[in-house]
Amino acid sequence: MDFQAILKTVGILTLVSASLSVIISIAERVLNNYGMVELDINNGKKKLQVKGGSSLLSTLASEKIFIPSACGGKATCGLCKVSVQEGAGPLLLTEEPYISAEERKQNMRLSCQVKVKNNMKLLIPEDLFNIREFICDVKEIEDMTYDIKRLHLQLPPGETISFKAGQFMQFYTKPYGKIKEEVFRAYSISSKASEKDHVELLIRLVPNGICTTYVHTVLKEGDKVRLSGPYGDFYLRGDCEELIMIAGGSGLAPIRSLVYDVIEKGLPHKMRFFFGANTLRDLYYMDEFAQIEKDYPQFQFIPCLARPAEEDNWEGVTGFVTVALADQVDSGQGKEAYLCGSPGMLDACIKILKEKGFTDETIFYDKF
Amino acid sequence: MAPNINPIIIFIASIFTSNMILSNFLGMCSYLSVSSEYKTANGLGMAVTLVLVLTTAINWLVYTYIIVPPERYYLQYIIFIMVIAALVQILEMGMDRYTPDLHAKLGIFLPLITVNCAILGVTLFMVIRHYNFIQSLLFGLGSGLGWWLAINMLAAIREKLANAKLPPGVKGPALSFIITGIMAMAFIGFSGIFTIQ
Amino acid sequence: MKQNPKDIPVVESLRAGILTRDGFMGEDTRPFTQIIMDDAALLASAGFTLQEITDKMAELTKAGLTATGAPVDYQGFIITVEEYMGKLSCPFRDHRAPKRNTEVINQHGQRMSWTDLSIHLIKAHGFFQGKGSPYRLEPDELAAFLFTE
Repeated sequence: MDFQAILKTVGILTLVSASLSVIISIAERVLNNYGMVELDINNGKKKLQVKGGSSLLSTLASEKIFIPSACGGKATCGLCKVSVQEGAGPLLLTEEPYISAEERKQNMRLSCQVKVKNNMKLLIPEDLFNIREFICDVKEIEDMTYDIKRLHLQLPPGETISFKAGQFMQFYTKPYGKIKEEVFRAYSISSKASEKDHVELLIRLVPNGICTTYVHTVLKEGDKVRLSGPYGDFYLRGDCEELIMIAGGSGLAPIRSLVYDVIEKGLPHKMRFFFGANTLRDLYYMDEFAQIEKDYPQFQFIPCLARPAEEDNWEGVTGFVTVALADQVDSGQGKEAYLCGSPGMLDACIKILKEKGFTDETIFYDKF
Repeated sequence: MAPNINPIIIFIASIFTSNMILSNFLGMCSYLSVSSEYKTANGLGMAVTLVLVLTTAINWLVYTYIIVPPERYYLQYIIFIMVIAALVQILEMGMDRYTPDLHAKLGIFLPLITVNCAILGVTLFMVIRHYNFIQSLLFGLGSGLGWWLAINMLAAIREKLANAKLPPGVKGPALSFIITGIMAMAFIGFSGIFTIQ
Repeated sequence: MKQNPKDIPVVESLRAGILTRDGFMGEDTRPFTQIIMDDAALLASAGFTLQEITDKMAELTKAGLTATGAPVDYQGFIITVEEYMGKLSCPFRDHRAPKRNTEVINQHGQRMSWTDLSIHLIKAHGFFQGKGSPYRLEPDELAAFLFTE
């Protein structure tokens, strides 16, 4: 084979691959370029000019509109639902499991799966416009019990947050150890709604938990963390005379915020706070709640220990929080119930409350 | 020289008597792994058919006008593969843009098809058998439809058998092979009716 | 075998650090579809169905729930259920299970633990998790554990 033949072969190959690459890059330019598109939110209340081609969730996030989402755009949590009236295209295979027939009628879509290709009309709850992102300083990490830590997260100087007591924030972890990607999880705010320069979260270590392990073993005072929020519709309605509050473990967080909210606003509601735990070492914030009880007669604190140890010398209520609830709450008349705790506790308490005449309209809890 | 066979005969033959899967056993990978559900199997079959028609047509042109004149036959494999890969990519982008409905159904299957041996197989058969353009086009379409038919049949049977009481050793790929074998025997009954080369 | 494109998001969610810290695969290098098939054969040779296994697991967890956080004596098993806030998504995207751990000790002092998600994964998907995953259960051992007196 002579030199010319080799050259010819190489030439043909080069020519073919070069022309194919040119065709592909032209196709990409032409086909994958959706240009600027307009997002119309809530019937013209807000109009955004955005660059097409990414998911609706991330497009909205880059416009500082944060849709709550717990899985980070992997179509596993089904929380990032948004009503898209126009311009979303057909429902995708990945969305199907999360959209009920009812939601299909309202044009609900998972915003992490919908790609922004053309002008869209969206309906987004007004509350979501308050949601912002903060890079916070970890000012304090305190052990509240053997498995619950309190985080004091200071907002950047000059920035403030306004949230309703009871709402939650999303906490983003940085990659660590085997975890290669950022993940985020939701935690209720335990600090007072009147303290606008920081938020406090109570985080209990969950075995095999990504975010809680990060907080308990990796995070140090002085670190920076990313938060977004506030989210959630767990907040005070107050259309009643008495508030029944029930919490277990780190579920104390939003209740603490709620109690301070009622007191600081000078609201007249009576409050009874049932706090369930196993043994004395699971209890925390005891002195603080005892003090509030002393200062404000409208508030009553009822810690219940299911199985106090002998050395605990427990003199308070012994038994499950459900038992105390059944004993001490007579009826749902003029009352609202605010619950935060593990799913089993929620189910058991809701059952008791319903027997007492509470309804779905007077029982509130976070569903995440 | 192109063989003197009616393109319609080639079309029918490639669906039934020389079915890509059941006579040639090509494209088995995706045939076995994507046949557990009828709905997805159907989508993949559709995508394979579409890609087969387009690639045979384009590869025929590439072969006749780029490979034959300089007599560089040993380049055909690499060039065919590059053309198929590029075509699939462009097809996916185009679908996403202009027919989002279709993309939602077929989009996830397209990348899988790039490396499906049935696609390259059809192109190579076309070259070996010296088909002309029309013959190639119908051969591509027929082979695609044949592949689609075969995977749909397997998926339907597998769905029916999913809840059947079977010996544990037979479940999974073993069962698929047995079903495919029986189907292949049935299809072999057609062989010899038409000559295609 | 080639991967079914529908499985790609599942494979993704099974990895460590996506839904849980350690993921669901452990050090297992088999595709999850293979694990499911291998375990189905193991379970069948032990003579039990997924339904029987998961019904029993759910029954024990339910028994343990009568006293969350403390050991409960039930049919010769000592069961401790621990609950945490929130729910965990199934990697197959069809369920959200409460974060709940069940630890069981049988009469012979053997110990096994599972989560509500483990029960769902086995019941709905026949998936006992990869070897080395913190909640991997060997189907034959689990069956023996649950059903021998």
